[in-house]
Amino acid sequence: MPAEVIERKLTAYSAHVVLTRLQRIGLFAGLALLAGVAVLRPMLVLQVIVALVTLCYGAAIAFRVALVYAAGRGEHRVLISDEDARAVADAELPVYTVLVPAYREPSVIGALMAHLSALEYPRDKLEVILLLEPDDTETIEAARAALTGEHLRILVVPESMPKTKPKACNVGLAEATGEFVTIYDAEDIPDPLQLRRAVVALRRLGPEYVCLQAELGYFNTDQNRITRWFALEYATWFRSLLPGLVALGMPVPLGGTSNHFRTRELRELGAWDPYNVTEDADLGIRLARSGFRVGVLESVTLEEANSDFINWIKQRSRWYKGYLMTWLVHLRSPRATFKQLGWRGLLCLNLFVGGTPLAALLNAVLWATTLLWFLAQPAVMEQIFIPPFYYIGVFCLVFGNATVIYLNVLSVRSMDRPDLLGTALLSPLYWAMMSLASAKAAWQLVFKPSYWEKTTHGLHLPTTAPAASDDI
Amino acid sequence: MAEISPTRLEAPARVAGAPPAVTVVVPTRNEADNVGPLADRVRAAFGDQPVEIVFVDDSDDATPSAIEAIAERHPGEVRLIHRVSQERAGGLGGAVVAGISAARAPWVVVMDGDLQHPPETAPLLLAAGRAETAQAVVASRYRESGRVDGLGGWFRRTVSRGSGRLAKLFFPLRLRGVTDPMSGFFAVRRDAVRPAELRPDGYKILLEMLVRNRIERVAEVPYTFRSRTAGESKASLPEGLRYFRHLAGLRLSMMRRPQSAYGRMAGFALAGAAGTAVNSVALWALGELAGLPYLLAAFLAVQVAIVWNFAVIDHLVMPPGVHARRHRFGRFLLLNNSLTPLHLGLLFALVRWGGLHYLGANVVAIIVVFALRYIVTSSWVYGTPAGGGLPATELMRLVRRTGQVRVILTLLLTALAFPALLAVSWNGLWTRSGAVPLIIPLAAATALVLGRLRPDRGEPDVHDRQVDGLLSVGCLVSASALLLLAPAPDRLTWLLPASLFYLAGAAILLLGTRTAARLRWALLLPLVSIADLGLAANDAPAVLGAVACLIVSALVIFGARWGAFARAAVASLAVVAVAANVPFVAGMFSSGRYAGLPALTDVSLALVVAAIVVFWSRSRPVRALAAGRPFLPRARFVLATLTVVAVLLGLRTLPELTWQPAELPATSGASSQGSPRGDR
Amino acid sequence: MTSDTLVARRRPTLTEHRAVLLACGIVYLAVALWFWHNQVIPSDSTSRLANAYYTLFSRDPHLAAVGFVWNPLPSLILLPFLPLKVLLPALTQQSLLAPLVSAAFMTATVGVVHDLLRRMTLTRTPRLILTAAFALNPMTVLYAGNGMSEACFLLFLLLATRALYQWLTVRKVESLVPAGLAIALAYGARYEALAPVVALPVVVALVTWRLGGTGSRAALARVDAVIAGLPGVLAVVLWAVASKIIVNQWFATFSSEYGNSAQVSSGSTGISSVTGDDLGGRLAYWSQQWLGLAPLLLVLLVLAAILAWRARNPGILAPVTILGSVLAFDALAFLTGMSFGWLRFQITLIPLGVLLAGHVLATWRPLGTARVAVTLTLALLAIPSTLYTLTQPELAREESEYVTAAGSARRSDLARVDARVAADLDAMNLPDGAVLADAAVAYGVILASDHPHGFVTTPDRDFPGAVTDPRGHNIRYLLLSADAPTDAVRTGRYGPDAASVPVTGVRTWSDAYGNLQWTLIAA
Repeated sequence: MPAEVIERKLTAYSAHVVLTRLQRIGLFAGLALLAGVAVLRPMLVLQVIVALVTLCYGAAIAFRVALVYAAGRGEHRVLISDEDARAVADAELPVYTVLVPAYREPSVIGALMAHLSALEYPRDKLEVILLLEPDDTETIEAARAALTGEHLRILVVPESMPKTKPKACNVGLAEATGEFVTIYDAEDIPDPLQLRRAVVALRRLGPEYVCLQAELGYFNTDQNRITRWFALEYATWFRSLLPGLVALGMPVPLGGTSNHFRTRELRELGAWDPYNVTEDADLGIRLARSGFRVGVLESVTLEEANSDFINWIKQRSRWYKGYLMTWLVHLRSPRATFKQLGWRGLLCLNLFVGGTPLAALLNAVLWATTLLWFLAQPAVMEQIFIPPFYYIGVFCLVFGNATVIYLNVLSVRSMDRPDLLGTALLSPLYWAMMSLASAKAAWQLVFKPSYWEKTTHGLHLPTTAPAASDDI
Repeated sequence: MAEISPTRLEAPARVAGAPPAVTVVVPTRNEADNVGPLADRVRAAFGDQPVEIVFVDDSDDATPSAIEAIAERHPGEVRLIHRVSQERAGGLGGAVVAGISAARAPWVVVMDGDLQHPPETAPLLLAAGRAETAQAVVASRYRESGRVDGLGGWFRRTVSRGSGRLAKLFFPLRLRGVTDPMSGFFAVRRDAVRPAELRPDGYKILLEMLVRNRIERVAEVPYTFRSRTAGESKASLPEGLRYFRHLAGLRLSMMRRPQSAYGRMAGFALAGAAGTAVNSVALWALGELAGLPYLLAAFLAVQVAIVWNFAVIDHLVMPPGVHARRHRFGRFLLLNNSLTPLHLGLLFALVRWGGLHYLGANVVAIIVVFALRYIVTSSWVYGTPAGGGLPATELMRLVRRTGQVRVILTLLLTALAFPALLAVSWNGLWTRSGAVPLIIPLAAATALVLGRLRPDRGEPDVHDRQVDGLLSVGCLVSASALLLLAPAPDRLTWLLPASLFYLAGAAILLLGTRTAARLRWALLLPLVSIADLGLAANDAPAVLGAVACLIVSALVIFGARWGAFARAAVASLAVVAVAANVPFVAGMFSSGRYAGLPALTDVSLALVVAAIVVFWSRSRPVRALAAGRPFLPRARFVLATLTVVAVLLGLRTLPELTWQPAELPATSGASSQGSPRGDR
Repeated sequence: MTSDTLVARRRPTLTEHRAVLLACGIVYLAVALWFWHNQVIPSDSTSRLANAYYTLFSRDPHLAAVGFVWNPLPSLILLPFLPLKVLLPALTQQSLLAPLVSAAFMTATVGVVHDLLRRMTLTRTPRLILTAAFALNPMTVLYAGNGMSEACFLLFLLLATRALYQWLTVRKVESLVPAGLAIALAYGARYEALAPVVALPVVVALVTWRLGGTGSRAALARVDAVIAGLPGVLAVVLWAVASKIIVNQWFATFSSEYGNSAQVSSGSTGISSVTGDDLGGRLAYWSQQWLGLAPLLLVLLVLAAILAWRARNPGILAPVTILGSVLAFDALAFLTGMSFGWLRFQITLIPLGVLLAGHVLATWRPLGTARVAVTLTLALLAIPSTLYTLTQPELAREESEYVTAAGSARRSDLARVDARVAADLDAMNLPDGAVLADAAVAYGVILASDHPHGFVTTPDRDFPGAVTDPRGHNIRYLLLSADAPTDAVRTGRYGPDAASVPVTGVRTWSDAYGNLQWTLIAA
């Protein structure tokens, strides 16, 4: 199935334009109406906004608690023991395609060979395609030098806009011959048995399950506070939130890598949307809309956690922009979405996919108003926060934040990493960073929707010469 | 100067008629028997290199015929320029200039005809010239290995060296690399010399050339000055006097209408200073004697000053440019008057709110408006962009390039935004109030920051202007919120956080988040001072604060190692010593009105601490830089916004401030001479 | 000690659990109705109900009207049921709602005890007998019906005990969460829960540290302590911050003039007359109460401890930690003269005794019928001794109000006086905010009135202004209580000494025995 065919199937859902004409008209009409009312009854408008915001906050926190509770009440992750994984004879194993998109990462390509050779899968059944951009010459040379073995192939993606990872994967998918396909980044260290486990799981779960999302972890967790926060967040994400979504039968937004697909169904679905910067989350929602189900595979792929503040902000703002884009794309025709996903899907789409970045953005605004209140007690705020919503607001502020911190402490215990206790208790600082990233994402969503904010990898590698005098 | 081994140069083979590689100019006067041997030795010295010898003969004896004889023997290599008596203007120097104008080779060597200058050194001059790409090479008698056994008696030697030193005294900058400016034996690039500008007078043509033609790169080669073989020396006392007059004239003429930007600006400043005096005198006369209201008096005084300034500047400082003088005066008057309202406004503000006397305020206003006047005058009246040296765009380029300038700009903007802080510290100076100990950590923090702007190797070179923008907007908004909500304009508990927020916002915008984050330790120091605020009662906290600042700075610069603590201990001892004997030093200058200033100890401590920190930053091992230049974001738009915000914030609190009058508190009186500590 | 040996017996058919609940529910409902019928509901319950009432139906309804002197939970829980007063006015006017809610709470508590005994792998008969020993104990029955906050407090304590027991025996981290949350809610009910808020994390940390696990035991202990302790600490901190912001006192119970400490100090003469004013006297009084409520508790405690040690079963730590710490806190408070020494402060003795007996039966191997009989009698002995103690007025001072005939007559008469005052004021059909009264004393009248907006009371935000200048706030009458120790309106007008208070006014009300209760004076 050539890439263009995949391309055409997808235009209805593609994020090549942030707002369709209909949505744009709706938005402008709404804003105009709001402005009109605001002129007449400013206080009413403010009160309504505050009420809506507090209700959404309450709903988001309740939803998160529900997810964690649902995840705790039973085992919703697909567990394949080592013996079962190894029990399947090599002959019965299907051809498996591994796509490895890389861009400007010559230093990391070297490690790729070591990690891929660790995979316990017969070489003749394994097809690894390294996807590189034509203008990225140094990585191509590094790859040609490092990559040996006939199951390994370098595919230079033809030059075309948008130059993003999903487009490269689409091109790779068109060439894939395997029955199953997965994606790894160049610096990933997958669990050697992951492919075997995925095969056994997909066969056991039946055709309804088209995708399995393996857990992502980090190998440089203890590099600094940011990587610890990252590790804690990902553990909570893959061990309580995603299983919770599975338990509640809601669409599961996929992770960046280590998601295992059935190739045929993926092609029919139109694969990844090249214009969406979080193509994985978008694909998760589209899978659900087509009636397919996603499982969470209990197998860890280690990757590099972002250890630098500014680099982290870039990466996180890209994700939030993608989530907002996905949320807008799938609200283009609410009726159709409701018909396909049902109220559960809508709830997840609005509270989880759209809610995460919006909540992060609103956090900053609300913290500022709280600070302002304690600083100067302006009378106008008493009128804005009318009693019932004021109490919900205070409840969300106090108990909402306390609950999420408490859940973080719990996941520290379930991760069996008690040394991350301090990190869990310091989560509010991490939320502050998130709100900064979401502000940047909102800004870019309006001005540069499809711009791919490149994160520099290899920051975990020790610098060439140890710094002479280490500064505090 | 590099020692040149006298190896032979592999110059292009000599081809008759080919343009000579070097021209040797030899001014001669009655030295017939020296000319032959000189020519032979020169041609031997240069070997197979094409050389052309030009004799400029002012002699009245048989020297020209001797030279012509040599010329026939070596056609094309020896030329004669004979100058009859009335053409001998400029003496020896004039002859050399004539020779140089006639020279055909790129390089010209000048030597005397009396064989006191050894021709063998000539190729060395050329080699040195090429090796160091110099424009001129001087053969120096006073270089280490140079000797002057050629100069006769002791008296002659001291006169010669003295005149050399005198010249260096007059032109310290221009002749800094030259040890023997009076030397007659030198080589110079033909294209570096502009004969038209030279005023040759006597035997000091090298000095004339170096100064008037502004020859920058000068190399030197030592040589031994041979004793005179024939002919008599012309040095004598009247010659010395004539030399001194020549030096003075040269100096004065160089000062008139300077070429370089700095020279021009200095000239403008001198003229301005004179103008200020004229302005003050006029103001005093009109204000005190004539009793006019000070604003009207100031206006008239400014007009007087403008006329005076024009007279001085037009004649002495600025090049005439294209317009006629009358026209230039009209523009000068008009443009300077456009700045007068700003001048008067500042005067009014300083008098009414600053509490200064109008005469003093007037001087301050003139100084403040000076820069604007210079830019306006140089770029619009004299048509040259701000003197070609330091235009506004040049200033902006300076800002863009260096991190240190930006840090200082950040501090200035913060001061502009928070005049209340200035008011509090100004009042504090006189009454030693709470804010004074702030000076020490602030000085230390600034010094620390200036030293740590370069990123170290471990840091990834990743920057994001949007993050900078968002963070700084946050900081600026919280700064203005704190300021607007502050109950009283000079409440320190609200002002300090607000100013720190503004400082952080400006630093992030000007230096980028990563650099600003690296300077976060400098914020630790003002916090140290806040701990001191409580103990402001006597001197001890100031010293304690200083020592604490030193310890923190040492830790930050050298890392937590014993070396840091050792250095901090030594520095603390120095600080304590300074604190102990500041009162005595102040006591010595008891007449000065600032001797009894209560905050003198704090100010001096601040300076000492800042100096120590800068010294440490300099001495710290500079780590190899990860990338080429440290990242400095574009600052044009940013500077404009920051200034606007600063002005808005400043205006918010300025009207309600009270400034302490500048004289000492009444109680200090004589008692303060002994121990200022006693009177608090 | 693997977890499967201790897993609870196959869960019996639900009927037994539901039957126990139904039985207790009916009994306690009857007791509640009896309290309401005889109008002997204690003043504390009415005051908690009134606090909830002010937030919705007072002249200036706002959430902070719930008051910060007592912990808010007992009042907040009544909030959703208050609107029912439209259907049944007696719910609030005769404060029927409080006993009904406490009955429901006590029924739930019995359910939790029954479930906990089941988890201790007891067979049916001892389980039912012990549950009855708890449910039918006179103190339990009384406090199920009188609407006091003890029922709510006991429920959360026992929920925490069950969760802790689950964690100690089945070692699943998730069960620490309900323990922490229950203790936080217990603090919401009574400030005595400060003790378990501290004790729980400490015990959890020690157990984790001792029993160990993968990785560094200290870090694991820290994490478990935080999981168990965070909710409780958060509850304490948040309540303190809220009261600091609103009434500018961190812990109003201790620092406010209406607070517990103030009342103890002002009533100290009365207390010491009964309990003796030196340590020895108090110790004697306190041990009398202890022996009265749980005569052979020490024997049970020692026996259970030895057996638990032998069987290496840490389950005993659960009741000892939670209930024991509350007892210790109250004992400390009373012995240092900081508390009234009411009998109800020792109410946790009863569930403690029952659970210890249960634990003995669970760990005593081999378990002969004789041993079962001995343990059960030890547990059942508490009932007659409690009955006896309740009849001693000097030991059960509060309970004598409604257990003894004289006490209940006086109590019901006071209730009737309040109803009459309310009726008379309503008859005068005054405008809003006409009568100024201190809510801490006139809560009965305000509850009984059909027109609560007529009263300007303490929680109203303009109350301080009204007290200083009644006429300025167009208040017509002041309702003064005759003998209440603290009455802001009376002290506001006449100062602290009771002599200057007028005996006559626009109207006066006195009780059946002729002593004056209320005086209505013109503003």
